Amino acid sequence: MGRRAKKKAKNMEKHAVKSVRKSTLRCEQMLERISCYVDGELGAKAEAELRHHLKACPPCSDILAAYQAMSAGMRDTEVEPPISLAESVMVRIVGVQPVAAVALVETTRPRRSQMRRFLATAAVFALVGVVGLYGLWSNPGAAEAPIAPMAAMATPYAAMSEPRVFLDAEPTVPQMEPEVAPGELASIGGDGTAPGDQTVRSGTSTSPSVPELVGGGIGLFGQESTDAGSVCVIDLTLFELLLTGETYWIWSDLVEAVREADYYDLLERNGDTFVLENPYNCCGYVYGLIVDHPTLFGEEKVVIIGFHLEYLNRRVEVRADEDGELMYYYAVREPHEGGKRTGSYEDLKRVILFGHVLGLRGLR
Amino acid sequence: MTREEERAVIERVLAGESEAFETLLLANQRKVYNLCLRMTGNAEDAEDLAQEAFWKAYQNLAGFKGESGFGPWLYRLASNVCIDHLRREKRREKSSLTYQDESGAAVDIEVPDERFMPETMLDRRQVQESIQRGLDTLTPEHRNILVLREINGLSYEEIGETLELEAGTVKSRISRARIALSKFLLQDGNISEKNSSLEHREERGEG
Repeated sequence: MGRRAKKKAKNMEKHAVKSVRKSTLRCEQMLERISCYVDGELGAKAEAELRHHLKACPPCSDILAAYQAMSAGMRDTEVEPPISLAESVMVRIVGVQPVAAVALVETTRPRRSQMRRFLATAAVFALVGVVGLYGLWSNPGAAEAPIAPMAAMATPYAAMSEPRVFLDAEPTVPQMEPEVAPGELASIGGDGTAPGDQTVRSGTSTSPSVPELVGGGIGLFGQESTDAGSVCVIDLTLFELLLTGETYWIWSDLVEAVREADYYDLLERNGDTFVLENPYNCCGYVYGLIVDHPTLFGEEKVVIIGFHLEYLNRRVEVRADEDGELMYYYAVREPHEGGKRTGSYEDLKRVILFGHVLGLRGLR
Repeated sequence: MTREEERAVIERVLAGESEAFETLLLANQRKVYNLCLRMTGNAEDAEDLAQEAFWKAYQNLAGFKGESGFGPWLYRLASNVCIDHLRREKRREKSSLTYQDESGAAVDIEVPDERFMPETMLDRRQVQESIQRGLDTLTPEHRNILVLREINGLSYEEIGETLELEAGTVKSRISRARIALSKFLLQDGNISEKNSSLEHREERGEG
């Protein structure tokens, strides 16, 4: 505080003391009224009395002015909350209770902030009740947009609702013959390599009814490990990478993305499969997310799977990893061509996420 | 958001649609955050506490009976979260006696002179900083009630509901909080010695 200000403060102090000495009991009684008056909470009669008093009492008028200034000053201090507040709250909340499944299709490339928002709101994957791994196919020529479930794993939640499926209405989807007819029961561990205790559940979905979408996709968002288990959530970095790569092989891109996201130490080379030990698992054209959280899900591992539209309606296997440590392993049945797959942004952006996903009302 | 809208959203959340909570969150986060910010005086704690408040609101949503608006109910949670936090902090930092005790915020009539005016006293930023410093010196209860009034914009009635106080107590507590704050603002800067004439009077008990 500068010299002038100091002097001013001293003067104020002096005046205040003087005023206190001069003040009357009546003034003391007025204090509360002044306060009420500032808040607009004074009755008409009391207000009239106060006004009358103020006319005759400059010190009280000063108090009123001071209170009004304080009031204005306080209101003036309001700031916008940080974006992370809502995000963290929703992540925490949505992580608690499984809701419904959602599939997403990218229609427009979201701005980063939108994605953040979406992802945060979604918190998504983390605690999803399982994986429904559904094929999804939007045929613009057919109003009934057939949706073919590819594979579905049993959910531990009896009450889990059917997934809501959001479809992209863009007419640029390449035509593909579904390998699995709509409604057909998909298989798990199609080669008999899966643990037999998995119940198979049909993933029949209803026709899509939500034409406008932004956002969607999958990536590593973050990871939380506690004694109770671990959860891996989608990340923007990966999402964007998946959306923007001109030429890519999803497998290696994924690994790269993970590496970049400082999850490298979660990776372990395991034969032909990159294994993200904790708890991310990916392979081939399909990438997924495993949530290992016994507290929330019992011994079930929760899986979220995303893959590219190109591979929709193709059979996907879900089976246990041979060493038993990984719960699930995803692969497209078709022979893996290996190497790089070239794709344009147009189809890259059609990343679809499947699974019983929580809290996706961020789709706006 | 009307009460009906609030109620509808709450019903949805309670029915299991957790993500609907976001509506409530977005509608209230500014006020809750600012409440926490003014209560704690720092952004980091404010965010944590605001998050905690929303979390509690979510967990206890079934306990919201709708007698008051959702806002006041939420502010109450936030207020309690903040006050608990401040008490913990106070215990942790015994050395810094930042609060005046309740009786210290006496009914002294500190009459600021005409220089205690917004346009002459300090510039805006200084005023804000000064106000925050002033708030920091208040008891958590005084700080809380002023924040509820000024930042959250609650009426006296709503404050009464929020803090479960009688109408008379709301009035007197706000008045005392203002006195304490104005006293600080008056002294803010370099005058730390309290003039005895400013503190010899004892506060009467609150209604």
